Amino acid sequence: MNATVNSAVRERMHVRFLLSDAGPLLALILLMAIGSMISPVFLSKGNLYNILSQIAVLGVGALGMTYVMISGFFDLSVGGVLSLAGVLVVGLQPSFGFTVALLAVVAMGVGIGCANGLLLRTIRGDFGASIMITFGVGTILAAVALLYSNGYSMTVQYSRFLSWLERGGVAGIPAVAVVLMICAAVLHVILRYTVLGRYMYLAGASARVALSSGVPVYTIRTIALCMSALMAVIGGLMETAQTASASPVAGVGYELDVVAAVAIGGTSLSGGWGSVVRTIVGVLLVGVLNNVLILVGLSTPEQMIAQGLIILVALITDRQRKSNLS
Amino acid sequence: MEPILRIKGISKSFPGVQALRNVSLDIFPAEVHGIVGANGAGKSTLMKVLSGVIQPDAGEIVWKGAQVRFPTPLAAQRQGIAIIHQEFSLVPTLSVAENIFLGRLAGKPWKVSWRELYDEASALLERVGAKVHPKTLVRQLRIADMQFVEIAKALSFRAEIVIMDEPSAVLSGPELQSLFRTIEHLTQSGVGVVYISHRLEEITDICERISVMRDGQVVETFPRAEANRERIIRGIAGADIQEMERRQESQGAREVVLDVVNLSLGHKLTNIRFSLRRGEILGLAGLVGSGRSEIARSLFGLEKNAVGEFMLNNRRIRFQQWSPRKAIQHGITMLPEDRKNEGLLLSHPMYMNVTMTRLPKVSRKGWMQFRREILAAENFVERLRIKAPSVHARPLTLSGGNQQKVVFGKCLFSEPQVLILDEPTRGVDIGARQEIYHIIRDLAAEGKSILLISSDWAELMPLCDRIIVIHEGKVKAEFHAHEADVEKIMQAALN
Repeated sequence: MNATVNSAVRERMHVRFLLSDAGPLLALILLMAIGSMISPVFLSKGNLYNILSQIAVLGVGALGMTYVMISGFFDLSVGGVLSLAGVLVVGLQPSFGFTVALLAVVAMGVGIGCANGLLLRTIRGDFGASIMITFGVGTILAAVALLYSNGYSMTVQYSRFLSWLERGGVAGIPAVAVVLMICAAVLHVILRYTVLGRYMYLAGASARVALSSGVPVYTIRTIALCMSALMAVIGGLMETAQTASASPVAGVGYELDVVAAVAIGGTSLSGGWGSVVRTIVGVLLVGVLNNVLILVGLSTPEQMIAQGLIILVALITDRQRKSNLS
Repeated sequence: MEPILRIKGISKSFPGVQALRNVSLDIFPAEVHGIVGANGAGKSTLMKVLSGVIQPDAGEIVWKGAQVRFPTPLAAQRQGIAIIHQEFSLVPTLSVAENIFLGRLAGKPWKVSWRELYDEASALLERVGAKVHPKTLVRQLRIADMQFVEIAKALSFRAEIVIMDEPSAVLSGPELQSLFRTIEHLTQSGVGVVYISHRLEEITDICERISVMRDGQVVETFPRAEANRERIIRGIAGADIQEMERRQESQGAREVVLDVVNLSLGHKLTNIRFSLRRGEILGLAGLVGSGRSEIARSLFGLEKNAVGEFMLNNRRIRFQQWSPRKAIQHGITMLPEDRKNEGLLLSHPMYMNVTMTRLPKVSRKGWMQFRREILAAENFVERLRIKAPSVHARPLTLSGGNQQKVVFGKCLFSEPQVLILDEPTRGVDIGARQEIYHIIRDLAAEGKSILLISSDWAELMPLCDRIIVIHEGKVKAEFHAHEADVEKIMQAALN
């Protein structure tokens, strides 16, 4: 604005910006330092392996949700998608073989994403509408999963892919984490370096501005919803492999855990800002926190309280960053 | 007569900026005091000091002979200083009367005395000269009437000075006249009015005294008798600005680029017909609500219910199947009226704003080419003379004029053949206005066809080749540049 803004003010703004911007990463480093001091086990190979295999299901869902949130929507159907993908892949395998079952659930994911997107396009839905529509779709999917499995957990039959997901790995990294890393890399590159990625940010920053600048806002958001459903399908496969069974209620509460992880990483709830890297940091933060709490012997309710507090802190710092910006 | 409000030697600085230096000003009761100045000259800071929003670093405020401080806006309001901001502070879903007495409804805490409320509201509205029923919901009002409600609200605090920040920005024709009548009502009842505006005609018409601000100072104050356009402009700019000459009659007949055969939109537009030639600037005049903005929005595909068809380069296109995306692909772009909500991503970097209308130009096979994008954006910064530290700057940090140039850059990036400009100089100060006029003329000279909407009819005449006047959703009249004048336009616009 003018050249005379004194450098002290600018310096201070810079430091404050850095603090709130790199906050989640600093918190993660701090938490790891604390973890390694509290418990000798924390930095052991076995424990790190545990953390990585525990965050994978949450992580893939969070990756997809990152797209949806950046493009200005919300996706509450991922819990239903995860449950249904699990029971379907297990249920279809005996009659059609694993490959067909796998293709079927992938197609189902894409189809659900498109359905979400089309419904929202038809009603010209905004952020609020996306919450309600995807919640409705997710509720139906959860019910379908219950109907299909008659409410029982279904036991997995042997398949090479699922047993690799459960026990396999590359260079000491669990297979599920490898899948997570591959997904993260692909989604990061798309978001950061392609026209499609740019469109995601534009659609989320302001649908009105984007629409009147020729951005196909609803198409872009539909793609984001497909991505998120697809990631939830992968999450369902991982969950099924890890528990060696498919529970029709596996995805209950999954959607909000995923949203929380994305928000903790610092991706804006109101769209237009965020990144895959942030989401990965958020997911790691949640994973490491839970792990440290277990290591010091705290129970589930206490873990839940800690996670709740982190969500609050993440949102408050997000608001503050925004008011610093304007 | 004694001034009711004296400002003596007020200074205020923000980190890095001296917003006000040693400003002194006297406001008398029952006078209209005009304040003019470029954006950033310190007008709004001064008004914020007067209304208690911010505290001055030095100087004093004398109110009715006694030195006062206004620690909060409420304190200023209680003393009798009311401010009407450009953006209204009304609650759209409440009635007129509820808005006037918001937070001070008559009656007991548990029971509103509606009759008393409506009676008092009616009395105030009458004093303002507004024909508005107190039970009407604010969202059903025309913008001009909302302004009256704001003024009535100010009077309900027994205001003795009313500060109006660009009250005319959204008004023209009869609405403007009724605003002026209200101001007259106010001064007759002894209220002093501080009137801020960018439109010089109004200032010289209605203000008894005029103060010119520049760089945080009041450079001069003079009575109306000594005021003239040149003097005011010189004061604002600190130098002479060459005012625009009328446009020469365009040379020879050029081919028609856009031919609207018929366009209707609910009860807002009926059978609109006009055509636009290559390199032509066509003005759309009319009152707010006459349908001029709807014409622009229909042509850009933003009105879903528009019916009819138009020819674009001899291709027949139906409004029903039109969308902004298709419009941009076929060479029509629009600069929207509402820059902040429809034009710009205020907190995203400038280069993202500029290139968003046509990303394929800065990408290959779907991959962004960031170097090319930055270069392309820098090219526009240079061409449009946007004053910004870099293309990474966020529009939020730029002045109104520079923000508007970013929107121009964004529109031009899509290489349009037809450019629709809806109020391109709103909220833009005089210096930047001249630059925008030049940009518009240069574009026409390059062969682009321009559809220009403006409430400021005085700017339409020198800019346009032709002007069509819209009244109640119909084309009412058409003038060539050399035969148009404000009176003729006014007559057509009013019927």
